[in-house]
Amino acid sequence: MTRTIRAELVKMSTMPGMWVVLGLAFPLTGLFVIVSFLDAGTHVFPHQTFAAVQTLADRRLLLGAGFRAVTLLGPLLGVLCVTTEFRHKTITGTLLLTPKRSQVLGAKVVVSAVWGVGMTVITFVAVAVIGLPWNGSMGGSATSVLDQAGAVVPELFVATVLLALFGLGFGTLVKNQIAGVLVTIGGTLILEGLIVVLVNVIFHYDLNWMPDEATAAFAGIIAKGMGFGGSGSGANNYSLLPWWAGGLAMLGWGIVPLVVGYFTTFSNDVT
Amino acid sequence: MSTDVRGLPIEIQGLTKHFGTVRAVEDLTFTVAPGRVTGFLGPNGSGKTTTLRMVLGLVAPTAGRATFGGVPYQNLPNPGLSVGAVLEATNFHPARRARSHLRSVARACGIGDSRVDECLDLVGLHDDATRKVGGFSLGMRQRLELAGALIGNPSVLILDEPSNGLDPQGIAWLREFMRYFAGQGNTVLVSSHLLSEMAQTIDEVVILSHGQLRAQGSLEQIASTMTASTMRVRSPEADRLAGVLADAHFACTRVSSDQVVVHDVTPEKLGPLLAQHQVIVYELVHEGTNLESVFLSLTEGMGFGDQAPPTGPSVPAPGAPVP
Repeated sequence: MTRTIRAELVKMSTMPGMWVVLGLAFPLTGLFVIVSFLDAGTHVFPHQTFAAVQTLADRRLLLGAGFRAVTLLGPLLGVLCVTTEFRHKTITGTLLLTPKRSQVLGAKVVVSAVWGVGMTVITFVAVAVIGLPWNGSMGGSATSVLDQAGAVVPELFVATVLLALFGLGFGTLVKNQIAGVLVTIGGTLILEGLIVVLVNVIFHYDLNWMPDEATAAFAGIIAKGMGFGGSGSGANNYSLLPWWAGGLAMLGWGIVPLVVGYFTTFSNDVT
Repeated sequence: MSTDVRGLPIEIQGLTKHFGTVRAVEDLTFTVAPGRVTGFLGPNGSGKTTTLRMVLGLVAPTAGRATFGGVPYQNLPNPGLSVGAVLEATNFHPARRARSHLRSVARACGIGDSRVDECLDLVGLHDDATRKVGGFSLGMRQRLELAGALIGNPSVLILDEPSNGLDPQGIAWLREFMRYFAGQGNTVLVSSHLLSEMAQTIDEVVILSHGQLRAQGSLEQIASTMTASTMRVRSPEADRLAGVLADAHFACTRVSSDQVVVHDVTPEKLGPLLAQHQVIVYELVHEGTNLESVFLSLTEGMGFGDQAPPTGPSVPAPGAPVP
């Protein structure tokens, strides 16, 4: 297993697409740093102003600005990790060296998690490089933001790993890279939100176990500052799951497609 | 050739693969011995690649099994150290550099990077080690694939149409390498759809057609077993010659006014017969067994002994259709 993990680490680190996704976490986090300052200031058009974060929610929102970035990019890590093998037919070589397919998938779980951790680190670097100096220049205190690290940092790390696992499971199931990437991005940005809102409005039922909502529930400390669940902003007037249930739901979104994919698409003949 | 046996024998027993209603491989049984280069021959679509992929655990057989020294590929503790395989030239991430590709293979085998450079040197890609594989020619990809197969210093090498895309020098190098590798007591199984390409390299041959085994053995054995050996005789007494052959129950064909082709005969049989009847002979040519025609006849669906000999001892007139 160790050999396979090491081989997967080399493979992932020599795929430019992985670095692009990882790199995008930085500017995207920067964007949400801006949003957090806007949120702390006046965000009523056309009188928007930026302000240093003061409230507990805003401080957590700034420190966890990468949450939205990883919600979008985290699953892509997992999707790319597995679908690239099928797109470029490198799966043949992979399975020649590691014929036990469960071992290959196990290694990919570990490696996706490692990259998820790396992505989370990048989001915190973005906050440290962009957010904290900017906050300081507006009179805010870096210490008061960093005080929230104990609550925010582990939450974001675990959320990113769960999201990468979700992407891996989905990628294993579909195998097609373009479909995997499009559905992951489209599903995260548009489709899921639309479905959740429509079901909520029409059937008065909270689809709070859907991936994005479950992640928000798990990362509740950060997410509540972003208008999820209990904040009651916008159309999201539904309730989130408890954080632990959100985590379990996310784990399920990762494991169930992974297991189904393992027994179906991933076990197919490699011709 | 070394007598030390280092390689594992490949044992294939009743291997069968059906894709829906398509019978890709049917009840295939043969053994590939170490210390020899075994050619796995058959036309395109005959089931060679499917068989190799079943042997390597990539395709699940419908029935039967394939083992390396009694152990299925999936159960080899570290397959890369026992078996090297070159299946296709497309199994690369185009943006990955040659050395990076081999490093990932080395990691999977649990061996160090020094072997990577050795293998790059071996296949002549050292100067291209830092180039992206996407820019490689088909021949270079084949070499890189071979380097990957050799990383673990395996004792079994399985090659699927390895000369595709190689230039003549590359093909010559590959032939020499296979001979050398087998000479070290290793096992080599190499597939091809061209017998002519393999004839100079292989010791043993397994011929496949329509997913079924048509022949196995050395080239000499196959050639001698076939009924395609012919002799051409040029004589001013072609008519009398035809009569002598008919009396001796040899099948023959009149190909011109002074030439007769005698089928299913050896020089040792024909020479004494002509001497005994004092037939004047200007030319006696043993056309032998054309390996390519043997291969073609086998892979057209005809097995050993299935070929119908030319009918009757009669000699048609010049220009008449050859039976």
